[in-house]
Amino acid sequence: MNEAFRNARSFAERLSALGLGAGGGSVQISLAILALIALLCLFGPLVSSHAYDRVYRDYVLAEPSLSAHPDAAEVALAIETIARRMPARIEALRVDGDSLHATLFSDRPIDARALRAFERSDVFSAPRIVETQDGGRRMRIDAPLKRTVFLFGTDANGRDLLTRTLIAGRASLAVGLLASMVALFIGVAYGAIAGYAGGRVDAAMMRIVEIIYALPFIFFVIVLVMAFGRHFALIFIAIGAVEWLDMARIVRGQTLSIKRRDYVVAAQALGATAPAIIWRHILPNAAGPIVAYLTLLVPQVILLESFVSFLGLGVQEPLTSWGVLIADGARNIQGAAYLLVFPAIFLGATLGALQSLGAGLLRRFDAKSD
Amino acid sequence: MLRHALARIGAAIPTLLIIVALAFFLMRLAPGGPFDSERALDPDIARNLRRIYRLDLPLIQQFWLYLQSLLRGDFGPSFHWRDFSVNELFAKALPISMQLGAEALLLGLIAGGALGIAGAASQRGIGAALVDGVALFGIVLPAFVVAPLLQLFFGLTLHALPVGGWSDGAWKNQVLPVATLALPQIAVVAGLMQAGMRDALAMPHIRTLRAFGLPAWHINAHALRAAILPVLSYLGLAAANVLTGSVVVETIFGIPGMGRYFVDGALGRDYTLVMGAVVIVAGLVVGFNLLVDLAYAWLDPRVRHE
Amino acid sequence: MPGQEILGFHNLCVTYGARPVVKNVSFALARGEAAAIVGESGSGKSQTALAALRLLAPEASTTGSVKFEGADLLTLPEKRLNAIRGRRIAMVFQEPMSALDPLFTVSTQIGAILRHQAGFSRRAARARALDLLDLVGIAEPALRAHAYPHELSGGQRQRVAIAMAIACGPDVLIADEPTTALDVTVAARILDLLADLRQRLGMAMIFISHDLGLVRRFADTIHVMRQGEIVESGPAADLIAHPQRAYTRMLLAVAPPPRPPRPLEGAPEILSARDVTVRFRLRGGWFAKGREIKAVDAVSLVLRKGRTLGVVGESGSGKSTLARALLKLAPAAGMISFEHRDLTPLSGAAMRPLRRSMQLVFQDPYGSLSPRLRVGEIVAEGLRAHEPSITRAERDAQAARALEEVLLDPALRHRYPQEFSGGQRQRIAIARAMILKPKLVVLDEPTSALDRSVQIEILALLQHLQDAHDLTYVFISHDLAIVRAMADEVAVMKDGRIIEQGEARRIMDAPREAYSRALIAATFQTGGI
Repeated sequence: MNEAFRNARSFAERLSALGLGAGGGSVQISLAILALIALLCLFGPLVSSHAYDRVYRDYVLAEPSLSAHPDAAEVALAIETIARRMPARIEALRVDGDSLHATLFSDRPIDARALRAFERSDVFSAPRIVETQDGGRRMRIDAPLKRTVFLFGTDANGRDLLTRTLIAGRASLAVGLLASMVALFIGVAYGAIAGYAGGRVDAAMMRIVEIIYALPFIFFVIVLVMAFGRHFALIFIAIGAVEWLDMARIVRGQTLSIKRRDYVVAAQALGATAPAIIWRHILPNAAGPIVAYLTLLVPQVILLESFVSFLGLGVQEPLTSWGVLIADGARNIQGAAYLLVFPAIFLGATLGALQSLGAGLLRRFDAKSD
Repeated sequence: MLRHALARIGAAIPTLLIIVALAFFLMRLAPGGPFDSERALDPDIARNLRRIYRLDLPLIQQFWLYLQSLLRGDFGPSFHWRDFSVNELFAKALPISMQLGAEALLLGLIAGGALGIAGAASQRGIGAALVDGVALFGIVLPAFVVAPLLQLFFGLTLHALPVGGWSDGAWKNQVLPVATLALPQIAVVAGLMQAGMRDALAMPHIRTLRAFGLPAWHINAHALRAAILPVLSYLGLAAANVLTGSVVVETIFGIPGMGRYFVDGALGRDYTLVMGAVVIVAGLVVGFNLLVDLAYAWLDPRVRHE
Repeated sequence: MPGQEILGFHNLCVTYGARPVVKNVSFALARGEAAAIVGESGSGKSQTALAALRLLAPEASTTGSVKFEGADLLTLPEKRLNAIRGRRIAMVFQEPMSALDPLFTVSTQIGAILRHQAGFSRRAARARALDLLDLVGIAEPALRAHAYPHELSGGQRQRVAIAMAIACGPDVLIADEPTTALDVTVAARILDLLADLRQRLGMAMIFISHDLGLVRRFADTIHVMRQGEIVESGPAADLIAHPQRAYTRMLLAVAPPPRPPRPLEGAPEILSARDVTVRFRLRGGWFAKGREIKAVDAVSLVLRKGRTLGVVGESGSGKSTLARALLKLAPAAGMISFEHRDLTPLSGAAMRPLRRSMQLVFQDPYGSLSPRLRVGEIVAEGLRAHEPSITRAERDAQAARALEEVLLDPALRHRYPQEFSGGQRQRIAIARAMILKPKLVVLDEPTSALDRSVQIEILALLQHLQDAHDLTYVFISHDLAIVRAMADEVAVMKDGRIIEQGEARRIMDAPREAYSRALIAATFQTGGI
């Protein structure tokens, strides 16, 4: 076994206990941030006036803004586009409050059905014909404006970035939690068995862990992509297949030290069976570090999911995750940096909060065990 | 020491062998093949192709053939880039990735180490807060966020550095990718170094040195040697992380390294290409861990003793 | 011993935040004087010594003064202080393993002091280091000089630390519990070395210890510390002969009396072991061959019902491993039979029903109770394994009765073990063993972690339980004084073997082996503990 490996626990401890967010308040603050992000992602899309996959053709790459669309230029552009298709000329144009007053003129009589174009647009609601003149060749219409707000702007397909960021958050958080749970169960079972059995069994089991460690993570993703195609489930499997390793090492280390404690030997002397000892004595006493590392595992998993999705191997359109959105933003970095910035803020805040939560828990645990 | 080294090398060889076998069989057991994407392939041609690439042989025999050619240093022909062998593709790509990774690792070590020592020296002042900040920064800003932001700032806004490309390794083309790759390593190394120095300075044997009135530089040198050990342990992991990170960085900066062969190879089911990449990367990681082990044993006599 | 004052403590106070650990300590040390500071752990005696050389943790703050030849060490500039540290005042610490840098050889560490503090050249320092190693009684100094600390034994390490301390010929040597981490026979030799060096080099010495019996052998003056204050000071002989304070008398407390011999009366044999051997394999790599260590080497013993066998030995002698091997908790070769039933071929599952008759009590009352379980659950644990059919209420009732038997309030069974004192915890551990009504109990250093007064209570409880239930004990301890109080027979262990075995009184009065004699001498010469 190599040295890096043998020192895993102390190393992981140091790594995660890097003084993140000093002071006792960090755990509460982290929890508050996490709760806020989770609530936003869960309920935000329900409240939002935009569906995450709704395409607004008239608002492609709209900048983030507090004020409602359309502005005057967008109205002009939209009505021109509609008129050109009719085809018709715009003789007069006036925006007044929430509606548009326009006079259209064509060489031939205007078919009222052509006005459906208004309904299909993202800018206007169904128009009302105020007056027709010249045998239907001139038409005065009132079209109410649809007021829409894109707080985070829209992407290159004209979809609302805020809603998409929140939907992406659902995917990222779901993957983070589920894959962490997978890693937790595999890791705890594997680590506890290896540590409790000890000797050759332990050496063999840890050798396997070491070998999997030497395989680059990307390899798992690639093999799984080859096996299943680009499927949502493969993310769980790939991430679970890698991330349980750390947990297994930590649980094994804990088990090794706990099983030498006298209360475990006492339980053996009392005739308790191995599963009973693991369940009643080892796991409860290892619970502190397990929970702390679980908290640190979640951000790693979220990061990996983003990484896989960034490469286009993970979550597929129209569903999305923060990694997909960031990849999108990276492609549009020239001109639409906000496409990168907003998802990156959500991802960063989540990662940071989870990391300092884990570090805080670990610190508390360490302080308690001293 | 020699015995220790031999034992470590002896342990690395089977590890590598198992990795190769694992990669080979996992990949072959996955459904689909390299010629699936080309529609309406004539059955005769498909059979011919399979024979040329020896896909018609039993799997175990293919593995044996692959191992043999691997021992000769031959990764076989690429399935996707039919005119090239995997060796030819790697001959161009591998040096670029290696250079990138080595520079990033070195930068991470030097900058992170210096930052960590500075942080530890300033007890709980600005330095320590800085190190904490960098550590958090490195965690919340993954490479695929940092890279576009660097492109935006240094490339598109300041026009100081190229946004991408390699240009045969011109230094200007290297700055941003190396910085992106190194940033998380700087963060972790700085944190480890700071914690390590603080732990070391609080150790009883350092108190012994103080009790004998030895000069501060002497005491710090002793503490440093102890503090380097956890950083050294991390290096193996760091190498693996840099390798994984380089896939992203190479994609974003359009660098013709090994990274794209992973993704393209996987999507095109280019067995030999992906196998080659896995063997190379696993070999690098295992080899690097070996070096770390030996360095550790050299620095820490307790390990040698076991 | 009148003489010129060399080191004077004046109203020294040390506080951590608001917590005072040293309060107004004042005393003077004369040239060549041997002073001892004695107190229990937490009495502030080490803090006092560390404060003198400004070696306290950064969060400690000190007031008062420590005058060395007129200069106040507490306010001296770092540079001038460093000229005194190591050169004029040197220190030896308690833990010789952690006090030495594990990453450097012994001669490098001694050499660094010689070069920086005594101006030696590299080559001269190397030669002088060998002399010093020789002086502190390390055999083959040329060989040992290139050893790393982990390659040396505890006693050798402490000798190296002493060599470092005397390297510059200091005027004052502060020794902070230099023998506490060592076995009694090793400790005795280290003490002899220190006393010898002091006389030869004419140093003054401050010897810090928790053991009043230990220091009286060579201290001129004794200062007794309690809760940060010096409660009693005086010439050693006076203070030992006429202690003024109850606290001092408590520290002087004598060992419990030996157990009166009990006739054998043909009691049946309950446990016998023949050629029990426990090997630990150190795993080798692919090329390095694995090594084998015999922790227990061909031990044979016979135990009769109702008797107590005391197993005595120093750390590493294999006595705890033997305890586990006898209960088949460690893989052992050889034959063990319990009530004439051969345990050797039994599997783990086949052993399980037998376990209720043979129980184990441990040394560390803090480590032997799971901090996640309530006391009631801990005590009832054996019932879960052996009587799975009984109801929760019945288990609870039995746990309460078991606690009563060890003189604990059964109402406390709903609390967690952290809320109990060491002695109470040991009673809980005993209750856990007793609830199954065992026939044989192996007691592995059951009182070693406890204060003397609590030790005596626990010993009384164990004797009471033995008489009430006709129990058979294997009593393991490093402390001959305790073993003498409990055992009918004694076995002396060294390096995994039993080197001498027999009636307790016979071994105490007329040991045959040199090692047994050394052990007895080291224990009772220094007044026990």
